[in-house]
Amino acid sequence: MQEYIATFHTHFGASQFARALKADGIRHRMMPVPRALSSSCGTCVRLWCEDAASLPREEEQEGLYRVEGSSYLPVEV
Amino acid sequence: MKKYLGIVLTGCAVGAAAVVLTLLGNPGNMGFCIACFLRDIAGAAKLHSAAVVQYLRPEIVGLVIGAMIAAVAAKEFKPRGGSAPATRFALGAAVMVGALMFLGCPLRMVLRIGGGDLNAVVGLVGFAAGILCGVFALNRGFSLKRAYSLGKAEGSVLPVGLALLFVLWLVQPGLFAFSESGPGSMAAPVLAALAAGLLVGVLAQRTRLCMVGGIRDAVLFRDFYLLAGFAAILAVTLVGNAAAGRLLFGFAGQPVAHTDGVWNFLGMALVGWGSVLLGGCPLRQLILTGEGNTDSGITVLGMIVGAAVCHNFGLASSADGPTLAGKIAVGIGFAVVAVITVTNLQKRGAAK
Repeated sequence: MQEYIATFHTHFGASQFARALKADGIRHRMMPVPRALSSSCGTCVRLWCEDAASLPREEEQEGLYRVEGSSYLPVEV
Repeated sequence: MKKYLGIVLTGCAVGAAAVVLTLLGNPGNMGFCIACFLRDIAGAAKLHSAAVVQYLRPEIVGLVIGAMIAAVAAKEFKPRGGSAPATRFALGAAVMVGALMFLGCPLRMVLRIGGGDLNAVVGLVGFAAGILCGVFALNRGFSLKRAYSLGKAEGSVLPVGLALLFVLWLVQPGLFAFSESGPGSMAAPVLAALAAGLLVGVLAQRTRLCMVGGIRDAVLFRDFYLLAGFAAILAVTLVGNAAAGRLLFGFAGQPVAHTDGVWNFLGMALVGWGSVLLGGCPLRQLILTGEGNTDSGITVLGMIVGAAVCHNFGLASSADGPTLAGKIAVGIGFAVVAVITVTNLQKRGAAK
């Protein structure tokens, strides 16, 4: 299971995405966006899934990062 | 625990700088107060005529420019804006009305508690209650919609403009008003105030220190990172004031404070609610302005205008307590924030 962090333009976008993940049964957690990814204090969603391509779409999504140890690698969304 | 090191050290630095600034001449428990200092700047620029609160506080200039320097150095000066600027201006003004009812921004609330001022504990309870209102709004779909990338020149206008105002104040002080008595006449030396502002500006940009964010994130996510900064400021000011012989527990006789509990509570509740909708406390708005966020810059302008209105129309409290006009204004402030909350609830649709 791969760990990802999805970032959003708004808190509302993050919460919409989290709802969609919940509906799809994907393990996730809303949290403050990691400092390494942004100096803003927005909300991100940490999630665990096999295939990032199958994740739900949210128009407010800003980016998606694969978590590798303490690194965040950008993933095309 | 390593995660908390930066924010705790930042909180310690803010607390220590605040105590030192009061020892160097700032008003009691007012090493930093974003609301009071923006109000003083409004007075210095003659936007209001309250003679006791007019001084161009170098701390504010330092905070914004320090944040800008840190952001540029870290390649994080990424100007953004366009997220409901007019609404943010109104929220900034409403937050200022609440802060000047209580007599302090959230940061000064912590510094006041650290000086033993128990009125600020009442304010903290109100602040937390206001934050809960804001968190409730967020959970119900509140959003001021997204910001967009802007050019570096646009993001520089407000921080550079503030720096130029400061230079003008240094070379042509006769253009500005200076209090001869009252809190506006009490100030640390310019260089010390500027240096403290720069230091805190850099540290706050690096750590995202935010008084509102601490309680918000603890409630929303059970994340205590920002709250640790809040706690560190409180601990260091308690120890620092005790060491300086300035720790005086009680309600009466506290510096630049009044004892009306109901209005201390309501003033800070308005600040908490409005600040959650804005995404950060007044300090955080200054730091984001330094990062080129024009929405936060507009919010700061709203706070400055709000402060001028408060003093031109007798809305601000004094050591004697709140005014009737101030109580009415806080009521109007709650109405404004409530209408903004309700009219910005987004419809929840299924994600595509």
